Amino acid sequence: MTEALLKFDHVGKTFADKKVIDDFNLEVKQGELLVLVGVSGSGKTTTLKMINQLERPTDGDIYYHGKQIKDYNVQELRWNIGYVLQQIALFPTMTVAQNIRVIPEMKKMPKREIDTTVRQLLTSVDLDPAKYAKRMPRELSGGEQQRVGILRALASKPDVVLMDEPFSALDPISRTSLQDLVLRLHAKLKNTIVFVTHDMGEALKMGDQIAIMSNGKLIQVDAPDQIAQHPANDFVASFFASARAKNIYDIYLGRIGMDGYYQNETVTQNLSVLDEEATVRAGLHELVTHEVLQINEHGTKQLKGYLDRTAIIQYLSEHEHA
Amino acid sequence: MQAIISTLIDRKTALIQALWQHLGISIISLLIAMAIAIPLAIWVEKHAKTAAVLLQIAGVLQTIPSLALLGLLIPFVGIGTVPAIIALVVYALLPIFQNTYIGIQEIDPSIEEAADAFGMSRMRKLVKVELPIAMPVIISGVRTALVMIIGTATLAALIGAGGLGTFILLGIDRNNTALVLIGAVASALLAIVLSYLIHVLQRVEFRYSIATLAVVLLGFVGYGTFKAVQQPTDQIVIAGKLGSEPDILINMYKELIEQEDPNMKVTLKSDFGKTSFLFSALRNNQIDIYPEFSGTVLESLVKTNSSETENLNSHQTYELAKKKLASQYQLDYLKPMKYNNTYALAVTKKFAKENHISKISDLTTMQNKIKAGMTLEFIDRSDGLKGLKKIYGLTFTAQSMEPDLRYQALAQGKVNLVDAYSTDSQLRQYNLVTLKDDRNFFPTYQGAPLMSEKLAKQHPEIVKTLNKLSNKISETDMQEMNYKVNVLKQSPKKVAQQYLKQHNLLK
Repeated sequence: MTEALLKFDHVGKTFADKKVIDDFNLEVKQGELLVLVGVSGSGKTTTLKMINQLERPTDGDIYYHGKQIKDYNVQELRWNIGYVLQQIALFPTMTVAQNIRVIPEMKKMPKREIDTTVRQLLTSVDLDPAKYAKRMPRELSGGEQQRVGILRALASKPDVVLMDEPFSALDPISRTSLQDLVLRLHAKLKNTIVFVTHDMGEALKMGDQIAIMSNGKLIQVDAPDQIAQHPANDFVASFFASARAKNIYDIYLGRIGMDGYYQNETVTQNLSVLDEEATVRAGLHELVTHEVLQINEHGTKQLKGYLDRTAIIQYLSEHEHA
Repeated sequence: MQAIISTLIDRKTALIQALWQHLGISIISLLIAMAIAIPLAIWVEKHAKTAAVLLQIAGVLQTIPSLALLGLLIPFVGIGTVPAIIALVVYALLPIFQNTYIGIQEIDPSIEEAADAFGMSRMRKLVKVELPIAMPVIISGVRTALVMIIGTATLAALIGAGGLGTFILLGIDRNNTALVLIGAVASALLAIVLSYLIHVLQRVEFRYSIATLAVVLLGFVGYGTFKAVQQPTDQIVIAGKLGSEPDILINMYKELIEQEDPNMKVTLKSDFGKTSFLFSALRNNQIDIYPEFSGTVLESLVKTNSSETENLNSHQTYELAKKKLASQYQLDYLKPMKYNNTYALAVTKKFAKENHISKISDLTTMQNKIKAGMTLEFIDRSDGLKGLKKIYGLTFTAQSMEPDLRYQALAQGKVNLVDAYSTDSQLRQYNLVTLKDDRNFFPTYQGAPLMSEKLAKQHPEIVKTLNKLSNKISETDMQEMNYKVNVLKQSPKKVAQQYLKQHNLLK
């Protein structure tokens, strides 16, 4: 049994008296693609950023190659940990090639070797080096930019690559093709990837292992099929169900509520009461004649919160193509 | 237009020299301001509070009127190029600091995060990521600063730093629109051309911009060294205040000194500035000699009791001035010329004849007929109209007018009495007469060369030579010579030579 490449040991993080990560324990093995999934505000991005020290834990320790992460020289640690951002964040004043060269140059890799690497990398993601190397980021489409963003993270052959919601700003077609690209590169390079997303569908597609987070806590870590068969609790089950729904209109209203109920109780008239396992389809139907939906806990009559048309449409627009 | 072209041809060399000085002062100031403001803005990038304080300070500095700032600097650094550059740097700080700070501050935080996450050092992040992204904003701040510097640098002429401002000041002083226009247009063109150059530099690669900058800097340093080496050791620098009269006088000094000792090299700095600048330049040995008026010495250069200065005749005024300059500043005040360049009241010859007036006291009999147009300064001074009215018992009120307008108003008959300086060329130009100050109210202003006692001892022959002008040049002589320079546009040098030859002082 190989030792874990990354290990979170009772890690906690407190921001201004608010605990955002609480007693987090997790191991990531060499060559694994681990997906951290959860709704927004669950602490998954903070957890990711603690790996490359963009955030420092306030409790517990993180181990990398068996050594505490804070004992590493931060710069050298970061040179060996790739990072892909949701905002892509290519350096706008550098060409595509210059962007990819950023870390290899800092690591003082030989110039000729860097040139070869850049050419190979561009070719491997179907960007013709002759055509793309000298382009500026603003001349590329969003999908092309993020391909360069991924290459920039891979250029120095890092042990670990961190990806923070890398595809959530892209159109559905680019998203699918980039997901495939990352899987293909992962299979080829056998590198370790920690991938953050709020989209369970994406998590199921990408992950060797999926770690589900909620309110700063780790709920369940398992392979995708295990999660499907043995969800640790109702939260996981409903989160999973939302991704599995063939049609987005079949997901539970309670899933939308997970992203944030609307707690405004001023509207008492023109209200329709529904169970949290009612579907979006049923909810939209009610909203034709009512203004606001009151959602009660499944099986009980306990109030969970309110949803209106805006909240549902917003959810649909974000997830329709997932 | 004709006038502009002929002036341009006349003063081609002077213009090129002024342009060069202007460019030098401006670029050096800009570079110093950049060297201060850019690193400072980078340093406070992570300290929002310090940044706010610095922005406030730079903003306050910006609001000090440039003239006031130049004035404030004189006691500390004297006159000339140094205070001019300091003042210009102070003005350029705000736009450069502000734009650098904002340029970096406005970089997308995700780009900053990426740079950090890739393990860039603070320095590398700055050079490779932040500065290139902020560059257009920084450059636009530099351009704003540059345009401001070139505009404000015209004021440098006031404190003897030269530049295009000399043309403007000279033009205003001599009422020569062509000169003002040449100075103003040249400085505007300079601003446009340089601003465009920066714009071009911004588009080429960073290292080429640096190289260009280095070449420009080397050029200035080289030129400066060359000038410094070239300067002969035995030389006398004679300066004059703004205007034609001091210019004519210092040309006379030069002619006389060089006639006496052909090996002596005399450098003239005409239109060097106002009284206080020249006086402090003399005391700091930046100039050796300049002509000063006895009345001015008592009024603004030396400390006196009011009892000492009351009711002095011209001789007493001069003697007191000489004594005080020697005791308070170790300066030697040589013998005065004849003319008295003081305030006077002037009327047209026709008006004087019709009303039979020749003295100021004659005005008391015809007060209701007087329509006076006078400069604001004269109306307001206790040794001007205020005191005059008291001594002579005059009651008329005067309309305030721009110095030059009052002569035109008089010539057109809109007013019939104006204030004047007794040697103004306009007296000759418009055919005017001055009224005799029969109660000796106006202080006397006799011109004489002022120099250090040390220089007077080292070169007694210069003292002897300059004293040849003692009791020479009457008021009408001076009016005539001013008229030749200001109206007939003859060169001060030629006018000076003419006078000296006519009076057998020059062979």
